[in-house]
Amino acid sequence: MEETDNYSTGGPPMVRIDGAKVRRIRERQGLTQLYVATVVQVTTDTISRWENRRYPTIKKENAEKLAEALGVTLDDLLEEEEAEAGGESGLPAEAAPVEELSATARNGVASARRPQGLWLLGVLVVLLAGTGLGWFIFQRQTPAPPQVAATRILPGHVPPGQSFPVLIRINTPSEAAFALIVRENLPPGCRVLVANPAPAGAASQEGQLKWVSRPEKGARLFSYLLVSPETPPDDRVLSFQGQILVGGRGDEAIAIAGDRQLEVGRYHWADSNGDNRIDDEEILAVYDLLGEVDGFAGLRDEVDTLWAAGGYRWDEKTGKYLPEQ
Amino acid sequence: MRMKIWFGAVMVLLCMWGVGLPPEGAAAQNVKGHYLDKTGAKIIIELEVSPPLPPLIIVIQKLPEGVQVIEAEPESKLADPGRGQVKWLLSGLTSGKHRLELKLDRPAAAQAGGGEIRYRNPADGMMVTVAISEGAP
Repeated sequence: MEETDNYSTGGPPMVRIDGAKVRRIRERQGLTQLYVATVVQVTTDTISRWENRRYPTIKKENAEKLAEALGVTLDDLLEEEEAEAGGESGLPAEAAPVEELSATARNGVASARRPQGLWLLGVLVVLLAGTGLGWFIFQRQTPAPPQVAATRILPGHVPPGQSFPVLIRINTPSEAAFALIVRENLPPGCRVLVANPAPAGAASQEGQLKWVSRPEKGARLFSYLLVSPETPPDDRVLSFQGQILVGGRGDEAIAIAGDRQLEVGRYHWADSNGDNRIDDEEILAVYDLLGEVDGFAGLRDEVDTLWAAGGYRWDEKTGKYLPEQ
Repeated sequence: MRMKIWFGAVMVLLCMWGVGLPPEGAAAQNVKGHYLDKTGAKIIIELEVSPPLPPLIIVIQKLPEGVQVIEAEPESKLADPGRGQVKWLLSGLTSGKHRLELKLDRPAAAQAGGGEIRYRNPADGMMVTVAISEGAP
């Protein structure tokens, strides 16, 4: 159990959150409980319990993560003193206006002296108008889910134990901001050298990379440098599989399209035609691919050197490419 | 008779359009180069770069056999008399004019062959090769 109703001053600092506020804010932004749970690193059950006030107090650390996931301040999630009166009575704060309206409607109806038919017609008109208004407000507050596509770019081949780049491009025609989770399953035996942007470290597991991207507009690029396994698989193929979760699209996972496999061979990953040299077309293609990626300067330098040499060979002893003299 | 006049007019228009068409690849030349100096022991090339900016430009300058490069600005990636050429890898160039200079170990610039510029046009991904022109554009 992650949270307790523990008011002891000896434990971690606790805060009282307003579960109804949390739900309102989350739904207004079109975020799912799954998304919020992933960012805060708890289960969806825990998020549900917080929203339904089954845990009226939670760890301050978790509350701060929750606020960050929802894009608000911690104060925005805390209970207000005036709402405590409603909370203590067992009713959520937003129930009070409904009760007041009901009482007013009852009084108004009780004092009216109209024929029964007209009274019924009036109630029907009010209901229809209210439904129409509610639908109109709902449509305005619920934007259409953004259309998003993800594409992976891989080189065609890489020798064993060598680093190579992987890019995942996220494209969208939508101009709305959206949050994003990217999950990438790595081939067995591969090791991540660097990833850009930094992945969700605590959430990454063996053989998987995960990114959580805050709401922002437009296309995005996720990239990482991977080292192929020293001992390749029997079929000499490294397979990739991944998916993205988009805020506002519920729990629908979109598969990452594009390249899914590359072959373990003996040629440099930039030597696309396998002729043991990196020619002008190949180095131009490398810069097209990596020119916009931070943190890959070392990789570009290696390719530059091999291009300048006019050829390269694979040295079994050192496990490196050497420029051909 | 009327048909012949119309046919003739259409043919004339087609010919005029054909003459007016830009040569293949000319619209893609957002990188151009020409020699500012190619005398004595000095070769100076001026590049003119306009958007869309390629992430990488390769400039190749042929050298007479056996001639060595004493100095290159910017530093070139390859200056090998055995291969008879100098190559620059230029990344991240901004819009505008850029100068490349070579100092040779002997006054052999006039015997140096031509040079060329290679890059991928970001607009369409096509490989473009442009000769460095002898005079100013």
